[in-house]
Amino acid sequence: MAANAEIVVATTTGLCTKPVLPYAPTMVHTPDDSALMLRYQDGDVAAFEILYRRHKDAIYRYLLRLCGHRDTAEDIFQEVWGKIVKARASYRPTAKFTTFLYRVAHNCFIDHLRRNKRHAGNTVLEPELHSDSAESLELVTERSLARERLEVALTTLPDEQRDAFLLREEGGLSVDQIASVTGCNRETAKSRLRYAVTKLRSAIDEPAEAS
Amino acid sequence: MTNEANDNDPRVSEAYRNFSAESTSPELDRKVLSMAAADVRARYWIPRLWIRPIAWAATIALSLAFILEISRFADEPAAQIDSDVAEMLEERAMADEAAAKTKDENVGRQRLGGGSDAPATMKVATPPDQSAPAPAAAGATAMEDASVSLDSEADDMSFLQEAEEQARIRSEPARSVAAFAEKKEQSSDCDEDARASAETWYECVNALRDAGHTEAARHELESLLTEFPDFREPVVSRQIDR
Repeated sequence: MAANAEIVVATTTGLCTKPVLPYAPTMVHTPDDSALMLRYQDGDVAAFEILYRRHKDAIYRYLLRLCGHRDTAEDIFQEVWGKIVKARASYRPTAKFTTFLYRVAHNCFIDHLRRNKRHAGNTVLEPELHSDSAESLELVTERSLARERLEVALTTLPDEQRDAFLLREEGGLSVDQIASVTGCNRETAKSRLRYAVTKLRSAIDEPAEAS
Repeated sequence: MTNEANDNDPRVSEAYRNFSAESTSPELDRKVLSMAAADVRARYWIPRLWIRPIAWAATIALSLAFILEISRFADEPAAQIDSDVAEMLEERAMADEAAAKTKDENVGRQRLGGGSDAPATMKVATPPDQSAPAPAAAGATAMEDASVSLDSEADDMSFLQEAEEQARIRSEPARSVAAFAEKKEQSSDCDEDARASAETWYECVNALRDAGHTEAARHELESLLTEFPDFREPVVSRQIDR
């Protein structure tokens, strides 16, 4: 709802271009994000609240998909925003705010991985994320099954590919921005994204191809 | 299928969007927002802690400075007036010195005799009965000029004397008043009428001698001899004087 409202506001004010991804429209308000961050730098808490509500769900989902644990995701989520708050004094709008935000989130997740070796491998979905999936398989539609398969496939992706895919889907970042956030070159980021999309597409199409 | 399609598949995106709808809990939102607000408060509160003491200190300092300035201003006029008077007196004293020098030079020139222009003009300017025979028209013109120059010189001299006396009175109030009175008394011993001719002037000198004002008499006699170089003092008087 908030995202739709922002689309309307952005369209009427003409402050942004048409979003690439309709469900991630908040990521294209870069000038506004920077302006809000600068206002928060001057002590405007309301500006930070707008900024936070604009990006919080996408960041949260990004972290949740990366680590697979709700509590862990919430911890990292708080850590990310804490760093944003701490960095407000030194913030300079030299790059897109979304790139800055997802770089912080990415680094926080990497730090978390280093602190907790149990996340070194592929993350597994918690029961709550795919609960009832087994008992309702026969009841859900093919669409729901596709979603379930996509979700499972996402968890089985390598971390780098999943990271690239989530940065694209949740953050709306371009290949260059993904490369910047993850600290690799453009071709590597593009390759990771391509592999991720290919595998997920295969997961979605698997039953149809099987049938 | 192009690379772009491989990078971004709408079906995959749609499927992901359908199941990816998690949101943060209100509790988590509250935590983050309160953290952000607390950080802003902390950063702005630290300076504010110093605002009140600094404001008090500044108020006290400004008040003290104002009071000191007022008290200094109250004492300042008298001192300022004193300094102004001292400056004026100093300037006048310097002007008087210059005037005295000029006067001395003029007197010296007069005493030197006919070598200079002033004695010549003075001779010319003497009354007709004591001076040279009646001049011609050109001589009358020269006499007028000489008379004018003598008058102007006399005016200058009197002005310089007056300035000198006034400056002395101003610079040395008590002493100068007495000196001026004495001088005035001395100078008034032989007035202009007495100085009109050598004989009357000499009678005045004798009167001063008789009155016991030997210094004034000597001064007047010197002036008389200066003004009338041809005047011959009687032998008796000269002996008495010596």
